[in-house]
Amino acid sequence: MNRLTHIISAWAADILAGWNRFWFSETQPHTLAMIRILAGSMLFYTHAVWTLDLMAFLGPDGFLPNELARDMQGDSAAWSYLWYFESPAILGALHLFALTIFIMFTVGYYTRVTSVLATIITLAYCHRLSGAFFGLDQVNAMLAMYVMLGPSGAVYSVDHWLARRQAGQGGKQADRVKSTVSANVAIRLIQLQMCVIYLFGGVSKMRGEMWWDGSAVWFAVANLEYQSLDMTWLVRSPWLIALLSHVTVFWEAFFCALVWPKRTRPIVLFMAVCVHGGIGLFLGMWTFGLAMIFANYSFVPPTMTEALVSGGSNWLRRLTNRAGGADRIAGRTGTEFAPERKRHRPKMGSGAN
Amino acid sequence: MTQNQNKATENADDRWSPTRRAIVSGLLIFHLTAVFLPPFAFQTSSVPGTGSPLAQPLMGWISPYANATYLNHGYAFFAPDPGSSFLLRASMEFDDGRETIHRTMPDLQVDWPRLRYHRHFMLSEHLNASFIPAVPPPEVANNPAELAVWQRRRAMYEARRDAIVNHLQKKHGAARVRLRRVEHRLLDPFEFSQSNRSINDPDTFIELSDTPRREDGP
Repeated sequence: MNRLTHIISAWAADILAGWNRFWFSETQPHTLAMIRILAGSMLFYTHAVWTLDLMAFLGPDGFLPNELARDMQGDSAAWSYLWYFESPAILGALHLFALTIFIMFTVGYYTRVTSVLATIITLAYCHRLSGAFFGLDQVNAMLAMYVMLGPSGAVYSVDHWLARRQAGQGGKQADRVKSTVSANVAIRLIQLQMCVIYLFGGVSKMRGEMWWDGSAVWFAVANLEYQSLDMTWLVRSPWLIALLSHVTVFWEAFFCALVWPKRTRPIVLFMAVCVHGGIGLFLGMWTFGLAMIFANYSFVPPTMTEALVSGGSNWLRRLTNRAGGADRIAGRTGTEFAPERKRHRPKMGSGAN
Repeated sequence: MTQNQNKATENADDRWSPTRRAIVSGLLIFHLTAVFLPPFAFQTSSVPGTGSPLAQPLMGWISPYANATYLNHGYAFFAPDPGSSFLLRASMEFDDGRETIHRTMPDLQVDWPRLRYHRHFMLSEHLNASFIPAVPPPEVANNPAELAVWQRRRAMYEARRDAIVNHLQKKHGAARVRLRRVEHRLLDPFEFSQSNRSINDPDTFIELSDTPRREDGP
Protein backbone atom coordinates (compact mmCIF):
# COMPACT_ATOMS: atom_id res chain seq x y z
CA MET A 1 0.00 0.00 0.00
CA ASN A 2 2.85 2.34 0.92
CA ARG A 3 4.52 1.59 -2.39
CA LEU A 4 1.28 2.42 -4.25
CA THR A 5 0.94 5.68 -2.30
CA HIS A 6 4.53 6.50 -3.15
CA ILE A 7 3.96 5.87 -6.87
CA ILE A 8 0.81 7.99 -6.90
CA SER A 9 2.40 10.87 -4.99
CA ALA A 10 5.47 10.77 -7.26
CA TRP A 11 3.15 10.87 -10.27
CA ALA A 12 1.20 13.81 -8.82
CA ALA A 13 4.43 15.67 -8.02
CA ASP A 14 5.59 15.08 -11.58
CA ILE A 15 2.31 16.46 -12.94
CA LEU A 16 2.61 19.51 -10.68
CA ALA A 17 6.20 20.12 -11.76
CA GLY A 18 5.14 19.84 -15.40
CA TRP A 19 2.27 22.28 -14.82
CA ASN A 20 4.61 24.77 -13.16
CA ARG A 21 7.20 24.40 -15.92
CA PHE A 22 4.56 24.84 -18.64
CA TRP A 23 2.87 27.90 -17.15
CA PHE A 24 5.31 29.57 -14.79
CA SER A 25 8.63 29.51 -16.63
CA GLU A 26 9.91 32.89 -17.65
CA THR A 27 10.20 33.81 -21.28
CA GLN A 28 11.41 36.77 -23.29
CA PRO A 29 8.70 39.03 -24.71
CA HIS A 30 9.84 39.13 -28.35
CA THR A 31 7.25 36.72 -29.76
CA LEU A 32 4.45 38.38 -27.79
CA ALA A 33 5.58 41.80 -29.01
CA MET A 34 5.59 40.59 -32.60
CA ILE A 35 2.05 39.25 -32.15
CA ARG A 36 1.07 42.65 -30.72
CA ILE A 37 2.27 44.34 -33.92
CA LEU A 38 0.62 41.78 -36.22
CA ALA A 39 -2.67 41.51 -34.31
CA GLY A 40 -2.78 45.27 -33.71
CA SER A 41 -2.43 45.93 -37.43
CA MET A 42 -5.25 43.50 -38.13
CA LEU A 43 -7.44 45.08 -35.44
CA PHE A 44 -6.83 48.49 -36.96
CA TYR A 45 -7.64 47.31 -40.48
CA THR A 46 -10.72 45.35 -39.37
CA HIS A 47 -12.18 48.37 -37.60
CA ALA A 48 -11.05 50.85 -40.27
CA VAL A 49 -13.22 48.93 -42.73
CA TRP A 50 -16.24 49.45 -40.44
CA THR A 51 -15.74 53.20 -41.04
CA LEU A 52 -17.11 52.75 -44.57
CA ASP A 53 -20.41 51.41 -43.20
CA LEU A 54 -20.45 52.83 -39.70
CA MET A 55 -24.02 54.15 -39.63
CA ALA A 56 -25.29 51.38 -41.93
CA PHE A 57 -24.44 48.90 -39.18
CA LEU A 58 -24.34 50.92 -35.95
CA GLY A 59 -26.94 53.59 -36.65
CA PRO A 60 -30.56 53.56 -35.40
CA ASP A 61 -31.72 52.80 -38.95
CA GLY A 62 -28.89 50.39 -39.63
CA PHE A 63 -28.87 46.70 -40.44
CA LEU A 64 -28.37 45.90 -36.76
CA PRO A 65 -30.03 48.54 -34.57
CA ASN A 66 -29.17 48.67 -30.87
CA GLU A 67 -32.36 47.07 -29.61
CA LEU A 68 -31.90 44.09 -31.95
CA ALA A 69 -28.20 43.77 -31.05
CA ARG A 70 -29.09 43.59 -27.35
CA ASP A 71 -31.91 41.11 -27.97
CA MET A 72 -29.52 38.91 -29.91
CA GLN A 73 -27.30 38.66 -26.83
CA GLY A 74 -30.31 37.56 -24.75
CA ASP A 75 -29.60 37.16 -21.04
CA SER A 76 -25.91 36.56 -21.55
CA ALA A 77 -23.25 38.58 -19.76
CA ALA A 78 -22.03 40.06 -23.05
CA TRP A 79 -21.76 43.84 -22.89
CA SER A 80 -20.90 46.64 -25.26
CA TYR A 81 -20.60 50.38 -24.61
CA LEU A 82 -21.82 50.86 -28.19
CA TRP A 83 -25.31 49.77 -27.09
CA TYR A 84 -25.87 53.16 -25.47
CA PHE A 85 -25.17 55.45 -28.42
CA GLU A 86 -27.02 56.20 -31.64
CA SER A 87 -25.94 59.72 -32.53
CA PRO A 88 -23.72 59.80 -35.65
CA ALA A 89 -21.42 62.38 -34.03
CA ILE A 90 -20.87 60.33 -30.86
CA LEU A 91 -20.51 57.05 -32.76
CA GLY A 92 -18.03 58.74 -35.13
CA ALA A 93 -16.00 60.12 -32.21
CA LEU A 94 -15.99 56.74 -30.43
CA HIS A 95 -14.92 55.04 -33.63
CA LEU A 96 -12.09 57.53 -34.16
CA PHE A 97 -10.99 56.95 -30.57
CA ALA A 98 -11.02 53.19 -31.18
CA LEU A 99 -8.86 53.52 -34.31
CA THR A 100 -6.41 55.75 -32.43
CA ILE A 101 -6.13 53.19 -29.63
CA PHE A 102 -5.46 50.41 -32.16
CA ILE A 103 -2.64 52.46 -33.74
CA MET A 104 -1.11 53.19 -30.31
CA PHE A 105 -1.41 49.52 -29.37
CA THR A 106 0.24 48.41 -32.62
CA VAL A 107 3.23 50.71 -32.28
CA GLY A 108 3.47 49.99 -28.55
CA TYR A 109 2.77 53.44 -27.12
CA TYR A 110 1.44 53.37 -23.53
CA THR A 111 1.08 49.66 -24.23
CA ARG A 112 -0.11 48.66 -20.76
CA VAL A 113 -3.13 50.97 -21.07
CA THR A 114 -3.78 50.66 -24.79
CA SER A 115 -3.68 46.84 -24.69
CA VAL A 116 -6.48 46.83 -22.10
CA LEU A 117 -8.46 49.45 -24.06
CA ALA A 118 -7.92 47.55 -27.34
CA THR A 119 -9.41 44.44 -25.73
CA ILE A 120 -12.43 46.32 -24.33
CA ILE A 121 -13.05 47.99 -27.71
CA THR A 122 -12.67 44.74 -29.66
CA LEU A 123 -15.14 42.91 -27.38
CA ALA A 124 -17.55 45.87 -27.58
CA TYR A 125 -17.65 45.69 -31.39
CA CYS A 126 -18.00 41.90 -31.24
CA HIS A 127 -21.03 42.12 -28.95
CA ARG A 128 -22.57 45.03 -30.84
CA LEU A 129 -22.23 43.61 -34.36
CA SER A 130 -22.51 39.87 -33.84
CA GLY A 131 -24.99 39.58 -36.73
CA ALA A 132 -22.20 40.28 -39.24
CA PHE A 133 -19.24 38.61 -37.60
CA PHE A 134 -17.19 35.54 -38.51
CA GLY A 135 -13.98 33.66 -37.65
CA LEU A 136 -11.76 36.71 -38.10
CA ASP A 137 -13.45 38.44 -35.17
CA GLN A 138 -13.05 35.40 -32.94
CA VAL A 139 -9.30 35.36 -33.60
CA ASN A 140 -9.01 39.15 -33.23
CA ALA A 141 -10.73 39.02 -29.82
CA MET A 142 -8.59 36.09 -28.69
CA LEU A 143 -5.30 37.78 -29.63
CA ALA A 144 -6.27 41.15 -28.13
CA MET A 145 -7.29 39.50 -24.85
CA TYR A 146 -4.14 37.39 -24.43
CA VAL A 147 -1.65 39.98 -25.64
CA MET A 148 -3.09 42.26 -22.95
CA LEU A 149 -1.95 39.82 -20.24
CA GLY A 150 1.76 40.01 -20.98
CA PRO A 151 4.46 42.70 -21.39
CA SER A 152 3.87 43.05 -25.11
CA GLY A 153 5.34 46.56 -25.19
CA ALA A 154 8.66 45.52 -23.63
CA VAL A 155 10.36 45.38 -27.05
CA TYR A 156 9.68 46.54 -30.61
CA SER A 157 7.65 49.41 -29.22
CA VAL A 158 7.62 53.16 -28.83
CA ASP A 159 7.56 52.56 -25.06
CA HIS A 160 10.88 50.71 -25.25
CA TRP A 161 12.40 53.31 -27.54
CA LEU A 162 11.33 56.12 -25.20
CA ALA A 163 12.65 54.30 -22.14
CA ARG A 164 16.03 53.85 -23.83
CA ARG A 165 16.13 57.48 -24.91
CA GLN A 166 15.28 58.72 -21.42
CA ALA A 167 17.95 56.48 -19.91
CA GLY A 168 20.55 57.88 -22.31
CA GLN A 169 23.74 56.12 -23.27
CA GLY A 170 24.48 54.78 -19.79
CA GLY A 171 20.97 53.52 -19.16
CA LYS A 172 21.58 49.81 -19.13
CA GLN A 173 18.43 49.11 -17.13
CA ALA A 174 16.26 50.44 -19.93
CA ASP A 175 18.14 48.30 -22.47
CA ARG A 176 17.66 45.15 -20.45
CA VAL A 177 14.78 43.02 -21.70
CA LYS A 178 13.34 41.01 -18.84
CA SER A 179 12.11 37.46 -19.08
CA THR A 180 8.72 37.23 -17.40
CA VAL A 181 6.17 34.64 -16.40
CA SER A 182 3.31 36.79 -17.69
CA ALA A 183 4.79 36.74 -21.23
CA ASN A 184 4.83 32.96 -20.97
CA VAL A 185 1.24 32.76 -19.68
CA ALA A 186 0.00 34.98 -22.52
CA ILE A 187 1.77 32.89 -25.17
CA ARG A 188 0.63 29.60 -23.61
CA LEU A 189 -3.00 30.77 -23.65
CA ILE A 190 -2.81 31.62 -27.36
CA GLN A 191 -1.18 28.26 -28.07
CA LEU A 192 -3.78 26.28 -26.12
CA GLN A 193 -6.75 28.10 -27.63
CA MET A 194 -5.32 27.43 -31.09
CA CYS A 195 -5.18 23.74 -30.19
CA VAL A 196 -8.86 23.85 -29.13
CA ILE A 197 -9.88 25.70 -32.31
CA TYR A 198 -8.15 23.18 -34.56
CA LEU A 199 -9.30 20.16 -32.55
CA PHE A 200 -12.96 21.11 -32.89
CA GLY A 201 -12.42 22.30 -36.46
CA GLY A 202 -11.21 18.77 -37.25
CA VAL A 203 -13.85 17.01 -35.15
CA SER A 204 -16.69 18.97 -36.77
CA LYS A 205 -15.38 18.12 -40.24
CA MET A 206 -15.26 14.46 -39.27
CA ARG A 207 -19.03 14.60 -38.80
CA GLY A 208 -19.51 15.51 -42.45
CA GLU A 209 -19.58 13.22 -45.47
CA MET A 210 -17.67 15.35 -47.96
CA TRP A 211 -14.50 15.48 -45.87
CA TRP A 212 -14.55 11.65 -45.86
CA ASP A 213 -15.48 11.09 -49.52
CA GLY A 214 -12.75 13.58 -50.50
CA SER A 215 -14.96 16.14 -52.26
CA ALA A 216 -15.06 18.89 -49.58
CA VAL A 217 -12.32 21.07 -51.05
CA TRP A 218 -14.15 21.04 -54.40
CA PHE A 219 -17.27 22.46 -52.74
CA ALA A 220 -15.16 25.14 -51.07
CA VAL A 221 -13.47 26.28 -54.30
CA ALA A 222 -16.71 25.99 -56.33
CA ASN A 223 -18.45 28.46 -54.03
CA LEU A 224 -18.71 31.65 -56.07
CA GLU A 225 -19.39 33.88 -53.06
CA TYR A 226 -16.09 32.91 -51.43
CA GLN A 227 -14.03 32.55 -54.57
CA SER A 228 -11.27 35.12 -55.13
CA LEU A 229 -9.18 33.03 -57.53
CA ASP A 230 -10.79 30.52 -59.84
CA MET A 231 -9.61 27.07 -58.77
CA THR A 232 -12.36 25.08 -60.49
CA TRP A 233 -9.69 23.58 -62.79
CA LEU A 234 -9.08 21.27 -59.84
CA VAL A 235 -12.09 19.30 -61.07
CA ARG A 236 -9.70 17.62 -63.54
CA SER A 237 -7.64 16.25 -60.62
CA PRO A 238 -10.06 14.56 -58.22
CA TRP A 239 -7.16 12.86 -56.46
CA LEU A 240 -5.70 16.28 -55.59
CA ILE A 241 -9.07 17.51 -54.26
CA ALA A 242 -9.32 14.36 -52.13
CA LEU A 243 -5.73 14.71 -50.91
CA LEU A 244 -6.31 18.33 -49.85
CA SER A 245 -9.61 17.38 -48.13
CA HIS A 246 -8.17 14.48 -46.16
CA VAL A 247 -4.94 16.25 -45.21
CA THR A 248 -6.93 19.24 -43.92
CA VAL A 249 -9.04 17.09 -41.59
CA PHE A 250 -6.14 15.10 -40.18
CA TRP A 251 -3.92 18.17 -39.84
CA GLU A 252 -6.65 20.03 -37.90
CA ALA A 253 -7.58 17.08 -35.70
CA PHE A 254 -3.99 16.23 -34.75
CA PHE A 255 -2.60 19.76 -34.59
CA CYS A 256 -3.05 19.75 -30.80
CA ALA A 257 -0.70 16.77 -30.47
CA LEU A 258 1.82 17.37 -33.28
CA VAL A 259 2.52 21.03 -32.63
CA TRP A 260 4.33 20.37 -29.31
CA PRO A 261 7.22 18.02 -30.29
CA LYS A 262 10.03 20.07 -31.77
CA ARG A 263 10.49 17.67 -34.68
CA THR A 264 6.89 17.90 -35.92
CA ARG A 265 6.22 21.54 -35.03
CA PRO A 266 7.84 23.08 -38.15
CA ILE A 267 5.82 20.73 -40.40
CA VAL A 268 2.55 21.50 -38.63
CA LEU A 269 3.20 25.26 -38.73
CA PHE A 270 4.23 25.12 -42.39
CA MET A 271 0.91 23.43 -43.12
CA ALA A 272 -0.90 26.15 -41.16
CA VAL A 273 0.71 28.77 -43.41
CA CYS A 274 -0.31 26.76 -46.51
CA VAL A 275 -3.91 26.15 -45.39
CA HIS A 276 -4.55 29.70 -44.17
CA GLY A 277 -2.60 31.23 -47.03
CA GLY A 278 -4.82 29.19 -49.36
CA ILE A 279 -7.97 30.41 -47.59
CA GLY A 280 -6.75 33.96 -48.03
CA LEU A 281 -5.65 33.60 -51.62
CA PHE A 282 -8.40 31.42 -53.06
CA LEU A 283 -11.42 31.88 -50.78
CA GLY A 284 -11.27 35.65 -50.43
CA MET A 285 -10.73 35.68 -46.67
CA TRP A 286 -7.17 36.94 -46.49
CA THR A 287 -7.95 38.79 -43.25
CA PHE A 288 -9.05 35.57 -41.53
CA GLY A 289 -6.18 33.63 -43.11
CA LEU A 290 -3.61 36.14 -41.90
CA ALA A 291 -5.14 36.36 -38.41
CA MET A 292 -4.83 32.59 -38.04
CA ILE A 293 -1.21 32.71 -39.23
CA PHE A 294 -0.53 35.48 -36.68
CA ALA A 295 -2.01 33.30 -33.93
CA ASN A 296 0.14 30.37 -35.08
CA TYR A 297 3.15 32.64 -34.66
CA SER A 298 2.77 32.04 -30.90
CA PHE A 299 4.57 28.73 -31.46
CA VAL A 300 7.69 30.50 -32.74
CA PRO A 301 10.27 30.83 -29.91
CA PRO A 302 11.34 34.34 -28.85
CA THR A 303 14.93 33.55 -29.83
CA MET A 304 13.81 32.96 -33.39
CA THR A 305 11.72 36.14 -33.41
CA GLU A 306 14.72 38.09 -32.22
CA ALA A 307 16.92 36.49 -34.86
CA LEU A 308 14.34 37.24 -37.57
CA VAL A 309 14.00 40.88 -36.54
CA SER A 310 17.77 41.28 -36.22
CA GLY A 311 18.31 39.67 -39.61
CA GLY A 312 15.61 41.80 -41.18
CA SER A 313 16.99 44.92 -39.57
CA ASN A 314 20.54 44.18 -40.78
CA TRP A 315 19.31 43.39 -44.27
CA LEU A 316 17.39 46.67 -44.34
CA ARG A 317 20.47 48.55 -43.14
CA ARG A 318 22.65 47.01 -45.83
CA LEU A 319 20.03 47.82 -48.43
CA THR A 320 19.79 51.43 -47.28
CA ASN A 321 23.57 51.77 -47.02
CA ARG A 322 23.82 50.66 -50.61
CA ALA A 323 21.30 53.32 -51.54
CA GLY A 324 23.60 55.97 -50.04
CA GLY A 325 22.06 56.66 -46.65
CA ALA A 326 24.75 54.91 -44.60
CA ASP A 327 25.52 57.62 -42.06
CA ARG A 328 21.92 58.48 -41.29
CA ILE A 329 20.83 54.87 -40.79
CA ALA A 330 23.82 53.85 -38.64
CA GLY A 331 23.15 56.79 -36.37
CA ARG A 332 19.44 56.22 -35.87
CA THR A 333 17.81 52.91 -36.50
CA GLY A 334 20.51 50.55 -37.70
CA THR A 335 21.44 49.32 -34.24
CA GLU A 336 17.95 49.35 -32.74
CA PHE A 337 17.80 45.63 -32.11
CA ALA A 338 21.30 44.30 -32.68
CA PRO A 339 22.98 45.43 -29.40
CA GLU A 340 20.22 43.82 -27.29
CA ARG A 341 21.03 40.55 -28.89
CA LYS A 342 24.67 40.83 -27.89
CA ARG A 343 23.99 41.97 -24.36
CA HIS A 344 21.10 39.65 -23.61
CA ARG A 345 21.29 36.33 -25.28
CA PRO A 346 17.84 34.83 -24.53
CA LYS A 347 17.81 31.78 -22.35
CA MET A 348 17.36 28.49 -24.12
CA GLY A 349 15.26 25.62 -22.89
CA SER A 350 12.77 27.54 -20.79
CA GLY A 351 9.56 29.40 -21.31
CA ALA A 352 7.04 29.32 -24.12
CA ASN A 353 8.73 27.55 -26.98
CA MET B 1 16.96 19.74 -13.09
CA THR B 2 18.95 20.24 -16.26
CA GLN B 3 21.87 22.62 -16.54
CA ASN B 4 19.78 25.03 -18.58
CA GLN B 5 17.03 25.05 -15.98
CA ASN B 6 19.55 25.70 -13.22
CA LYS B 7 20.91 28.68 -15.13
CA ALA B 8 17.39 29.94 -15.74
CA THR B 9 16.61 29.79 -12.01
CA GLU B 10 19.82 31.59 -11.08
CA ASN B 11 19.12 34.37 -13.58
CA ALA B 12 15.43 34.57 -12.75
CA ASP B 13 13.90 37.97 -13.53
CA ASP B 14 10.41 37.24 -12.33
CA ARG B 15 9.83 34.32 -9.96
CA TRP B 16 6.26 33.87 -8.72
CA SER B 17 5.45 32.78 -5.17
CA PRO B 18 3.58 29.48 -4.61
CA THR B 19 0.46 31.41 -3.50
CA ARG B 20 0.48 33.52 -6.64
CA ARG B 21 0.96 30.40 -8.75
CA ALA B 22 -1.93 28.65 -7.00
CA ILE B 23 -4.32 31.58 -7.55
CA VAL B 24 -3.30 31.99 -11.20
CA SER B 25 -3.57 28.21 -11.72
CA GLY B 26 -7.18 28.32 -10.49
CA LEU B 27 -7.99 31.20 -12.85
CA LEU B 28 -6.30 29.41 -15.75
CA ILE B 29 -8.29 26.22 -15.16
CA PHE B 30 -11.52 28.22 -15.07
CA HIS B 31 -10.61 30.12 -18.24
CA LEU B 32 -9.49 27.03 -20.14
CA THR B 33 -12.78 25.36 -19.22
CA ALA B 34 -14.52 28.32 -20.86
CA VAL B 35 -12.32 27.88 -23.95
CA PHE B 36 -13.04 24.16 -24.25
CA LEU B 37 -16.71 23.85 -23.25
CA PRO B 38 -18.48 25.97 -25.92
CA PRO B 39 -17.16 24.02 -28.94
CA PHE B 40 -17.61 20.78 -27.00
CA ALA B 41 -21.25 21.63 -26.19
CA PHE B 42 -21.77 22.73 -29.80
CA GLN B 43 -20.51 19.41 -31.14
CA THR B 44 -22.64 17.39 -28.73
CA SER B 45 -25.90 19.12 -29.70
CA SER B 46 -27.78 18.79 -32.96
CA VAL B 47 -30.51 21.31 -32.08
CA PRO B 48 -29.86 24.46 -29.97
CA GLY B 49 -30.58 23.80 -26.30
CA THR B 50 -30.34 20.02 -26.56
CA GLY B 51 -27.41 17.63 -26.38
CA SER B 52 -25.09 15.90 -23.95
CA PRO B 53 -26.46 15.83 -20.38
CA LEU B 54 -22.91 16.59 -19.26
CA ALA B 55 -22.07 19.44 -21.64
CA GLN B 56 -25.32 21.40 -21.41
CA PRO B 57 -25.46 21.96 -17.62
CA LEU B 58 -21.75 22.83 -17.56
CA MET B 59 -22.33 25.23 -20.41
CA GLY B 60 -25.11 26.93 -18.49
CA TRP B 61 -22.67 27.48 -15.66
CA ILE B 62 -19.78 28.80 -17.76
CA SER B 63 -21.68 30.66 -20.50
CA PRO B 64 -21.86 34.08 -18.75
CA TYR B 65 -18.07 34.22 -18.70
CA ALA B 66 -17.70 32.64 -22.17
CA ASN B 67 -20.18 35.14 -23.64
CA ALA B 68 -18.57 38.14 -21.96
CA THR B 69 -15.13 37.19 -23.27
CA TYR B 70 -16.43 36.19 -26.74
CA LEU B 71 -15.37 32.57 -26.35
CA ASN B 72 -18.77 31.03 -27.06
CA HIS B 73 -18.05 29.54 -30.51
CA GLY B 74 -18.18 26.15 -32.20
CA TYR B 75 -15.18 26.65 -34.56
CA ALA B 76 -16.96 24.54 -37.22
CA PHE B 77 -15.37 26.25 -40.23
CA PHE B 78 -16.67 24.72 -43.51
CA ALA B 79 -18.14 21.93 -41.37
CA PRO B 80 -19.69 19.43 -41.14
CA ASP B 81 -19.71 19.92 -44.94
CA PRO B 82 -19.12 22.99 -47.11
CA GLY B 83 -22.61 24.12 -48.09
CA SER B 84 -24.53 26.52 -50.31
CA SER B 85 -24.23 30.27 -49.89
CA PHE B 86 -27.24 32.30 -48.83
CA LEU B 87 -27.79 35.72 -50.32
CA LEU B 88 -30.41 38.43 -50.08
CA ARG B 89 -32.12 40.05 -53.01
CA ALA B 90 -33.85 43.34 -52.33
CA SER B 91 -36.16 45.31 -54.61
CA MET B 92 -36.74 48.93 -53.67
CA GLU B 93 -40.04 50.20 -55.16
CA PHE B 94 -41.04 53.86 -55.42
CA ASP B 95 -44.39 55.64 -55.74
CA ASP B 96 -42.94 58.70 -57.48
CA GLY B 97 -42.30 57.04 -60.81
CA ARG B 98 -38.66 56.10 -60.19
CA GLU B 99 -37.60 52.71 -61.49
CA THR B 100 -37.33 49.85 -59.05
CA ILE B 101 -33.80 49.36 -57.72
CA HIS B 102 -32.57 45.78 -57.40
CA ARG B 103 -29.72 44.97 -55.05
CA THR B 104 -28.07 41.69 -54.13
CA MET B 105 -26.26 41.23 -50.82
CA PRO B 106 -23.38 40.70 -50.91
CA ASP B 107 -22.23 42.25 -54.18
CA LEU B 108 -18.54 42.21 -55.12
CA GLN B 109 -19.03 45.17 -57.47
CA VAL B 110 -20.38 47.40 -54.69
CA ASP B 111 -18.96 46.09 -51.43
CA TRP B 112 -15.26 46.91 -51.49
CA PRO B 113 -12.80 46.08 -49.92
CA ARG B 114 -13.21 42.36 -49.57
CA LEU B 115 -13.76 42.50 -45.79
CA ARG B 116 -16.68 44.88 -46.32
CA TYR B 117 -18.12 42.43 -48.83
CA HIS B 118 -17.70 39.68 -46.26
CA ARG B 119 -19.61 41.67 -43.62
CA HIS B 120 -22.59 41.93 -45.98
CA PHE B 121 -22.21 38.26 -46.84
CA MET B 122 -22.27 37.31 -43.16
CA LEU B 123 -25.33 39.52 -42.62
CA SER B 124 -27.27 37.50 -45.20
CA GLU B 125 -25.82 34.19 -43.98
CA HIS B 126 -26.75 34.93 -40.36
CA LEU B 127 -30.27 36.01 -41.37
CA ASN B 128 -30.77 32.78 -43.23
CA ALA B 129 -29.31 30.72 -40.39
CA SER B 130 -31.84 32.30 -38.01
CA PHE B 131 -34.78 31.55 -40.33
CA ILE B 132 -37.79 29.92 -38.67
CA PRO B 133 -40.96 29.38 -40.75
CA ALA B 134 -43.98 31.47 -39.79
CA VAL B 135 -46.19 28.42 -39.30
CA PRO B 136 -44.91 25.77 -36.88
CA PRO B 137 -45.34 22.08 -37.69
CA PRO B 138 -48.18 20.28 -35.81
CA GLU B 139 -45.87 18.53 -33.33
CA VAL B 140 -44.56 21.94 -32.20
CA ALA B 141 -47.95 23.70 -32.32
CA ASN B 142 -49.40 21.11 -29.91
CA ASN B 143 -46.61 21.52 -27.35
CA PRO B 144 -46.86 24.87 -25.47
CA ALA B 145 -43.22 24.88 -24.32
CA GLU B 146 -41.86 24.13 -27.79
CA LEU B 147 -44.31 26.58 -29.35
CA ALA B 148 -43.06 29.38 -27.08
CA VAL B 149 -39.45 28.71 -28.15
CA TRP B 150 -40.56 28.57 -31.79
CA GLN B 151 -42.38 31.90 -31.52
CA ARG B 152 -39.45 33.55 -29.79
CA ARG B 153 -37.05 32.40 -32.50
CA ARG B 154 -39.47 33.45 -35.25
CA ALA B 155 -39.81 36.90 -33.66
CA MET B 156 -36.00 37.23 -33.61
CA TYR B 157 -35.80 36.26 -37.29
CA GLU B 158 -38.51 38.81 -38.18
CA ALA B 159 -36.73 41.53 -36.18
CA ARG B 160 -33.50 40.87 -38.11
CA ARG B 161 -35.30 40.80 -41.45
CA ASP B 162 -37.30 43.97 -40.67
CA ALA B 163 -34.15 45.85 -39.63
CA ILE B 164 -32.59 45.13 -43.04
CA VAL B 165 -35.80 46.15 -44.83
CA ASN B 166 -36.03 49.33 -42.76
CA HIS B 167 -32.41 50.25 -43.48
CA LEU B 168 -32.79 49.81 -47.23
CA GLN B 169 -36.09 51.71 -47.23
CA LYS B 170 -34.58 54.69 -45.38
CA LYS B 171 -31.35 54.64 -47.39
CA HIS B 172 -33.11 54.70 -50.79
CA GLY B 173 -36.25 56.59 -49.74
CA ALA B 174 -38.33 53.72 -51.13
CA ALA B 175 -42.04 53.25 -50.60
CA ARG B 176 -41.67 49.49 -50.29
CA VAL B 177 -38.82 46.99 -50.03
CA ARG B 178 -39.23 43.39 -51.06
CA LEU B 179 -36.59 41.15 -49.49
CA ARG B 180 -36.01 37.59 -50.66
CA ARG B 181 -33.66 34.96 -49.36
CA VAL B 182 -31.75 33.15 -52.09
CA GLU B 183 -29.78 29.94 -51.89
CA HIS B 184 -26.86 29.66 -54.29
CA ARG B 185 -26.59 25.92 -54.81
CA LEU B 186 -23.16 24.38 -55.39
CA LEU B 187 -22.54 22.24 -58.45
CA ASP B 188 -20.98 18.87 -57.75
CA PRO B 189 -17.85 17.93 -59.73
CA PHE B 190 -19.85 15.71 -62.10
CA GLU B 191 -22.42 18.44 -62.95
CA PHE B 192 -19.61 20.94 -63.44
CA SER B 193 -17.35 18.87 -65.67
CA GLN B 194 -19.79 16.64 -67.58
CA SER B 195 -22.56 19.11 -68.35
CA ASN B 196 -20.15 22.01 -68.89
CA ARG B 197 -22.08 24.31 -66.57
CA SER B 198 -20.89 27.42 -64.78
CA ILE B 199 -21.00 27.82 -60.99
CA ASN B 200 -22.84 31.05 -61.75
CA ASP B 201 -25.66 29.49 -63.81
CA PRO B 202 -29.01 31.24 -63.15
CA ASP B 203 -30.68 27.98 -62.15
CA THR B 204 -28.22 27.50 -59.30
CA PHE B 205 -29.87 30.46 -57.54
CA ILE B 206 -33.00 29.25 -55.73
CA GLU B 207 -35.42 31.71 -54.18
CA LEU B 208 -36.51 30.50 -50.74
CA SER B 209 -40.04 30.82 -49.49
CA ASP B 210 -41.33 31.57 -46.00
CA THR B 211 -43.22 28.28 -45.77
CA PRO B 212 -42.10 25.44 -43.50
CA ARG B 213 -39.01 23.57 -44.56
CA ARG B 214 -39.51 19.86 -45.13
CA GLU B 215 -37.09 17.02 -44.94
CA ASP B 216 -37.81 15.91 -48.51
CA GLY B 217 -37.38 19.21 -50.27
CA PRO B 218 -36.37 22.85 -50.10
